[in-house]
Amino acid sequence: MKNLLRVAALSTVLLIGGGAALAQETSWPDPGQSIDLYIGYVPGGVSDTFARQVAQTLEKQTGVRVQPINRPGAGTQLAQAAMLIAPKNGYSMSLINLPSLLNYIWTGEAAPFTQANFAPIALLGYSPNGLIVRGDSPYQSLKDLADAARNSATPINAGWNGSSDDAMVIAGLEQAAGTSFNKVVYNGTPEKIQGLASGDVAFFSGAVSGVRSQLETGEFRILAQWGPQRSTLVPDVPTASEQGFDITYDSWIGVSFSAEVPADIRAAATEALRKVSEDPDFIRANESSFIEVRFVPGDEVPAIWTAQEEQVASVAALLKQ
Amino acid sequence: MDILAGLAGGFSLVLTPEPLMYALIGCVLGMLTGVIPGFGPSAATAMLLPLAFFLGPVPSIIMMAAIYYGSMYGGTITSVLINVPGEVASVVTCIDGYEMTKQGQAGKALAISAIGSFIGGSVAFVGLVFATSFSQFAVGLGPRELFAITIFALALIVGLADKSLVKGLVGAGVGLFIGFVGLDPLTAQGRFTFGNPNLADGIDFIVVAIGVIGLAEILDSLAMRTVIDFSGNVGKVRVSWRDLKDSAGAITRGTGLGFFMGLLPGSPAAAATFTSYMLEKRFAKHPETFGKGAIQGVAGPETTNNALGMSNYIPLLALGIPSSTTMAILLGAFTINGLQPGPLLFVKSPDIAWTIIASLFVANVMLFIMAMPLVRVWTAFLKIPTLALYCATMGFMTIGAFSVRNNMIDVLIMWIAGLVGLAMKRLDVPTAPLALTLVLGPILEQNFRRAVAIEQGDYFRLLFSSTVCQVIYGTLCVLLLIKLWSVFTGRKRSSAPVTQ
Amino acid sequence: MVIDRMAALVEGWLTAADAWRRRHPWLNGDIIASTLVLVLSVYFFADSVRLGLSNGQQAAPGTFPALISAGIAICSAIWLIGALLKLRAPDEPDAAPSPAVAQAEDGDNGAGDTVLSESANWRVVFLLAWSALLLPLTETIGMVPMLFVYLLGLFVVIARSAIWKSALVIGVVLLVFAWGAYEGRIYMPDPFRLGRAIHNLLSSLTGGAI
Repeated sequence: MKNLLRVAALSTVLLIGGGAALAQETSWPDPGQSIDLYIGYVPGGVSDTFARQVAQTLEKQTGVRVQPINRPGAGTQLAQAAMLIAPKNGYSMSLINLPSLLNYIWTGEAAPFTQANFAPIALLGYSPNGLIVRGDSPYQSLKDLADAARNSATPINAGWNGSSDDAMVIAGLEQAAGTSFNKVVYNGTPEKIQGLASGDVAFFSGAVSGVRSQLETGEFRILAQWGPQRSTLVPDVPTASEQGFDITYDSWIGVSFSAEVPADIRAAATEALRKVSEDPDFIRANESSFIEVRFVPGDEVPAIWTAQEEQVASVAALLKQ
Repeated sequence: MDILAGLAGGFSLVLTPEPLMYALIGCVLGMLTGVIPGFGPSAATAMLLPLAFFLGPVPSIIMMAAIYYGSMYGGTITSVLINVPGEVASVVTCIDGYEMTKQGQAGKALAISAIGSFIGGSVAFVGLVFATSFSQFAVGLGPRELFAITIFALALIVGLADKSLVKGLVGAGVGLFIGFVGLDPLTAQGRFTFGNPNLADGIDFIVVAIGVIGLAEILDSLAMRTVIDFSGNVGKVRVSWRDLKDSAGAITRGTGLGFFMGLLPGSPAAAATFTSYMLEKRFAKHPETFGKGAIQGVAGPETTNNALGMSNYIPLLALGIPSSTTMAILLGAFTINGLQPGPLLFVKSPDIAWTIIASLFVANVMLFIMAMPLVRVWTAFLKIPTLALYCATMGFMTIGAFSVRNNMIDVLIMWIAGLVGLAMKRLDVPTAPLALTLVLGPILEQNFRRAVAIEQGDYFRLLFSSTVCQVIYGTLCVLLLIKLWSVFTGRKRSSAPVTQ
Repeated sequence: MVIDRMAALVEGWLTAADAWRRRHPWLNGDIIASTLVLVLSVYFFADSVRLGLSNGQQAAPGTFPALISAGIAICSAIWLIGALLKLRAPDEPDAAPSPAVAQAEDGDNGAGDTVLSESANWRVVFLLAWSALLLPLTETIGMVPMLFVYLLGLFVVIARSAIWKSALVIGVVLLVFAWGAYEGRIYMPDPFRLGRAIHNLLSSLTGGAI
């Protein structure tokens, strides 16, 4: 806390003496302020832990207090809404998860915002996702699973969370295999793990970070990962496209401002988050929880966002048929 | 013997001043936060999770465990003293705990809770140490078993509706219905949300319980010109041998029930304590004393709650599956420190694993040591003039309801529930069935539908394919048959629910 | 005292309303409540049907809500019928006690007609109105100032004893609370940054030790 005061004093001196140009560059963040980071999840989960790491590292980098605020509800909509109505001065940001933020497209419920309301600061984390089966499962590849599903008299049970991210891959798999699965809906990864471990479902799709304990013991295996190329965290697992299935799906965690935040503040924040992404402690902490630290600056995010919107919309349209 | 050696090693590391201090601080912090209505274990651990960043693995996990137990007991305190449920699991403690306070036995109620909690926690700890033998059993517990246990609890519900069966059933129905509000978890369709995103995740159980039970009690007393005066009612703290003998059965059954329920996915603590209460009422020599300050009605549920709090750790430590919200938060505390609970923790860093396990027991003992002398302190709060006590409680309830989701909408919901609860009180509609079904409703519906999906529509397999289900349904049948038998042979009990 | 006079005024209105209600026996608590529940359950039953009752071999989102709302409708109808029957035979000994009498029994006051003079329903009315202030104030002026105003109001109007002492206690407790939340990084609405101010004050007083 002494550091904080020192930084405050130092930057005051800089502000007074450094002239207008310097003042503009260092005007965000103002050490007298504190940054609110809205998190749309209850404490303790993968995304929440990641957000808290971001908050801690950003605080270390900028010397400004970063306060995580959990406002769970409606698939992070309440947190986004809280961020969007807060003052647009660059001291309110929210955690965004792509594609789960796009769930509103999938449910068809009206969302209180669109992409145009957000000014993403950066994407920081890449969470590798894959198709998880039991260690003793008869399936060794996606092809085994697709063949078995086609030849089985009763549909194979698949665990999913009933929302856009799982729908994208399971619908894609159904289409590619020309069959359909019997979908069992679970709330969250722990329930999916219980379902798979007890044999109630034959597989599920999910974030690798949620099952790392089961993977290490060999209780579970990853049949395929959904990213366009292999993640550095699970380099031995082939991607779906390597196995001849045209299914790709990326899962990102990032931080966003409201679109009304001035451009210079956004640029300064992107720069601050770049430093966060280069922090060795931050990288190590996240790798141990199976999240790859990958920095994507804010101005490149809209392309990813739009592509995912199209993907979710096409799957939603497919499933409605 | 590996287990015992590991455990001994763990204890030797925990029984040093520094970890003991963290356990002590955790207990006190947990108790203080738990006293705020709505701050159960999950809210208290969530709120204090940031501490895990600063303390390092072992101290932070010791502290989280202590906070967990402390907040459980903290929830009991408000339930007993002012009828405001501190957390979901102690809603049922309000029924007889507060009655005991009215009769000047507040100290006794708090003491027996602490004793029961300690015994339940300690026995469950032994189970936890030999967890490996249970872990495979726990994996098999899924939607079918949860459905069976909720059916079991619901079948006993009529026991809570003594005054009027029809009104009790209306209350139970309303409780079930409130559980439907929100996005349908299986299809993500909005149900009864009126398009309000604040309702998309449903209505929080504890907020409604604080309103219907706690706020309603306060409003009802305030509407009287001369409010109840507790100050002369503090009573003796000492628990006599007779009390212990009376509660022994309740504590034994509570331990077994809590241990089993803690293994279920979701570890439904409130369902467990309600089931314990109703079981005690069934087994009691004098069921008519229930609802009028029966000590078993406090001892049973409180024991259940702590046994569950301990066996909760089995799926997390042995399988790496967090089976409840609190465990998910604790998993967060592990992850933040680069640890990964699961069987590999015992292979990779056995000393940390056994230290954590030993610390669970230390936290349990610490709570007991802290709780007994503090009973006097807590009951001393009753000496505050009742009106001032109520005013302060209003402040705490507001903080508690807000902090559930950092959302003022929950304060509003609490108030609506409070007014409904006041109306229910005036109209003699029992509130306990409503509180129970509020917890059970979502578990019942989701697990039934999930089980149907898993069995692809085969209802026979859904009901009878698992041994645990067979045992639960079997027990239920036996209980009903005993009931019928006693009705036919004319040995009616004065408050027998079926005969109403 | 102003408060006493206001209280007496509100209590007078409530008494008048209650007297009016008693002249109309069908305005009985049981009848009102059961009718309300009945109407609501029918409405929600219709809403459940709209959500869909069956989804192939599996239960649809509306299945359980429809079952439960139908159950509530039946139970509340029985309740209503029971209440109406009691209305026709008011002398039956086991008739449901009217709300006012039930309240009298709670207060160990057997005389049904003198109940209202013993009641203090105005407190409930005040609490309701005063608590409505919470909703807009928490986010705008912050948790701590809001609670200070709120609790002080409650102590002045309801508890009415040792007001200055309570104000001091409330103030100190809340400031400690604000500081603790700041140090522990626990979120609460604090637009005036009281937590930080206390932190800075303490740290300058103790020479940076805190």
